[in-house]
Formats: sequence, structure tokens, C-alpha cells
Amino acid sequence: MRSDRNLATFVLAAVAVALTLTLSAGCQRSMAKSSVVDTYPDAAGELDYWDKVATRRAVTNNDALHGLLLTADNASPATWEERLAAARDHGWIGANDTLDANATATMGTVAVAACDILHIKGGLTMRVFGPSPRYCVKELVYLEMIPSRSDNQSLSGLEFIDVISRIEDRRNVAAAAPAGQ
Amino acid sequence: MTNMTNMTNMTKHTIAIARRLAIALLLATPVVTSAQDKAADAKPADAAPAPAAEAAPEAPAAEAAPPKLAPRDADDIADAAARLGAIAKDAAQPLAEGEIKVLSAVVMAVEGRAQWRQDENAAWKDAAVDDMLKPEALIRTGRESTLALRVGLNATVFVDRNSRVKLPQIVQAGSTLSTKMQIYRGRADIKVDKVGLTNDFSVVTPSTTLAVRGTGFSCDVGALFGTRTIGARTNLMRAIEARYFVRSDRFFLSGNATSDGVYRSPAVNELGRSFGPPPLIGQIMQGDRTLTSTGSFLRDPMARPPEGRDEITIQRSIDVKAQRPSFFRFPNGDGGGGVLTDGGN
Repeated sequence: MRSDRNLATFVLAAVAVALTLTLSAGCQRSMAKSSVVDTYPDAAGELDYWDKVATRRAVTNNDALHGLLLTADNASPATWEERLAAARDHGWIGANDTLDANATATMGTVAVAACDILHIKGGLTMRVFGPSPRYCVKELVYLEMIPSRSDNQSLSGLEFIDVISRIEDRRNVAAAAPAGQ
Repeated sequence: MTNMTNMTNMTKHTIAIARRLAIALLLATPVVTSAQDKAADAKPADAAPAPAAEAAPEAPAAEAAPPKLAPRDADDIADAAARLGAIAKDAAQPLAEGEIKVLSAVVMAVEGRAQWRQDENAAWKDAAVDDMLKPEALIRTGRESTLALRVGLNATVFVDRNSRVKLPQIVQAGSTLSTKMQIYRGRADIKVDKVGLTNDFSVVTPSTTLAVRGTGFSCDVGALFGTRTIGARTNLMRAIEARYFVRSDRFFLSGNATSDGVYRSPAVNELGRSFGPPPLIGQIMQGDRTLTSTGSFLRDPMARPPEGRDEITIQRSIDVKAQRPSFFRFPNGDGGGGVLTDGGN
């Protein structure tokens, strides 16, 4: 009947709109109110920074870049824009990629930085197409530095600190190894 | 005919010997080069064939091997470790039944940024060697930072990078040493020594509790893989213990004895003030100035001191010349007494 057809059409349209709204919202990263580095940006407060990051359920891009730059360069710039520029200089973030400072960081972003810090060249795909988040995560999983994760997953503060610790451990082992190994 | 055959055989034999010797010399050239007499004396007709031919070609001069500890250095470290162990055992005496004694932890080594505080309300302090931590102390380390502690009478703890640990309990109850350690995150190596008392060392992590009876292990607490236990870095901890112990030798002063940063032992310090810092021949340390050898004075008191020496050396040379037969007179730095001549008068 015509009324039944209209009802079915209406229901289908409503479901489609709901799905569209849900998926579009789900693709956005969660946002935090602030980052820990906003409170402890300098070297004097570094230990407080790590302590506070450990309490966070999800690390923000700002906190992640701060910690990664400290690990890589032993220093981190004072502002978010400078950290983003430094990360681009390192090749961790594409020149055209945009990141929100308080959006949750992804495992992929952290993995790209980890591979750069540790000079991990990866396999064929990484060497041919460059260090992409997906394959950097796969590489770290292969090296047993992280458990099986996807590159879009966020990571908690404790997980982030654990990754940083493993980067340092691996770097120290590599530094202690005889030349040529 | 027989003579001809004999001569032919002898010639063949000689040629064989010569060939073997030539090969041996070529192979052994790096070794023989340094002993040129052997090469000059080696004559194909006279040298014994078997030893030369069978001489194993020696390898070229060995590449520089990693420096090894001189026996004296190795003995010092072993002695220091043994003495430390003996002191630890002597100190560990059982208490009366029911008696409880609260112990503490001392910081033995710090690397990088490490802080501690006595409780949640206290301010964080940068850790330094010899800091005493009482039970309930919290410790945290930063990147590339470590902290080594001697906990109580029987345990050594090595707190590694990015760690946060707490020492809720360090007591001796009767004949039992009870220690608790809480690891919130990071890695800590624990070595528990057998000192003649019962060990009750437990490690608490967010997911598990581990008991240590008289052994060592490393506990790594992380959010990615949970709690992992691996082997302790025992050699590293022993080296830290030995270094701390050797550095911490105590000296008792009395009367006018003195001890300073250069010569901590009052006996050696007094020797330096009376006769000059040992060794008498060789480099002499005068505060932050290094004077070169004054050995020439002892050999020839009339010798002039080298150019460019400071007043102390010049004064000593004058004194030496004036007291020619007795050249053991060295004025004290402060102008006091301390003159000693030959014969000890």
C-alpha cells in the first residue's frame, strides 16, 4: 500500500541519517580539556609532567609530542606550534597533516616517532613507501615493543610512559652493542 | 755408482729441506722480523728440517685486547666487596623476641634526575648520595635516570628509568628482616642478601605481589605488558655497592688531626703537611697547582729548579742547597715546624 511504502521509506531515511551522524562523530578523536604539558612545560617540572601524564586515561597530541621530543632531543619547545613544527622536521607528521593539540594521540603517531628515534628501517613496505603509522605499529609489534594494536587506537598515560621506557631501553642496548652489530 | 746415487739422494734431500725452510720462513715472517738474528742465522743447509718445517706459523701480532683490570685493582674490588659483606653480616644481629626496630634506606648512587619525599605531603627533594630514607618514602626517576639504594640490612634496590616506587616498610622484627616495596610503574632490580637473619622481602605491583627470600630479580611494571620479572643486574648492583663502600671509608679524628678532600686519611694528611704530599719524587699536588718533579733536588741539591716553577719549589730548592747533606727539609705550607734532617734530629 502507498502508506506502507511511505513508512518504509521514512524509516530507511531516518536510519541512514542516524548512521551517517554516528559514523561521522565516531571518526573524530576524543578531545581533552587540556594537556599536562600546559602546566609543566619546562625542564624543572619534567618529573611532575611524567607523574601527571601517568594519571591520564588518554594522552593528548600535545603531551605525546612533548614526551617524544624530550626523548629524541632531550628538549622540547615551549609551545604547541613549535612542537608541531619540530615533529614535522623529524618527519613524524606529514607537512599537510593537521593535529589538534588536545585531541587524543594515536598509537600510529607514537610508533612513527619511535621508529625514527630508534632508526628502525622496517621491512620492504616501510622502506619503499616510507614509515607510515600502520606499518610502524606493525614493526613495533614485531619487535615486541608493544602488544598488538591498531594505528588509530589511543593510548593511556601509563602506556605512553611504557613506550617511552622501551624506546630508551632499546636505544641503550643499541648504544652498548659493539660497532657493526 | 753407489756414490753417485748417494750424492743424488743427498742433493734431493737438501733441496727438500731448503724448500720447507723457505715456506716456513715466509709464513713466520711477522714473528721472525722482530728477532733478526734467527733470520740471519737460518741457513738452509744447517737448519734441522723437522722443527722448522713443522713450526706452526704464528699469527701476526695480536690486536689490542680490551684492557683488563690489573690484579691489584681486581683484588681491591673483591676485597671491598668481601669487606662490605662481612660488615653487613656483623651488623645483622637478631633482636629479642617481640622487639621491632625500624630501619632505613640509604642512597648509594644517583644518575640523572631522581627525587624522593618522605610522604605524600612533603616536597620532592633531589636525591643525593647518602640521603637517608625512612619507611613510607616515595621515589621517582626520570628519563635515563637511575637510583641505587641499600635498603635495611640485607637488600639493594636499583630503581631504573621512569619509575615510581615506595618503601612502605623496612623493619627488623626479632630475627626477621621485613621489607615491602611497592612499584607503581617502571623497573626496579632487587638483590636480597643472606645475612644470617630471615628475609621477608615482598614486592607489590598493581597486579601482583612477589616474595623474595634470598635472591634477586628485576621487576618491570608497565601498562603494555603488565608485570614482568626478569633477571637482576647483580654485577651492576655489586659494583655500585663496592664503589659506595670504598668511598665511604670512615676516619676518626682526634687532637689536631685534619682531613680534607684530597687526603681524607688524617695520617696521610699529616704526612703531606710534614714532608710534602707523596710521592716525593714525581708530580706534587699543591692545591690546584701541579708542580713537576723535584727529583733533581734529591739527586743534586745544587741543581737549579726548572724555569717557571713557583715560589714553593724555589723555596724548597734554596732550603735544599742550604741544608745540603740533609735534604729532607721541606717547610710546611703554613710556615710551621716540621724540619727533619738526616739522622732524624
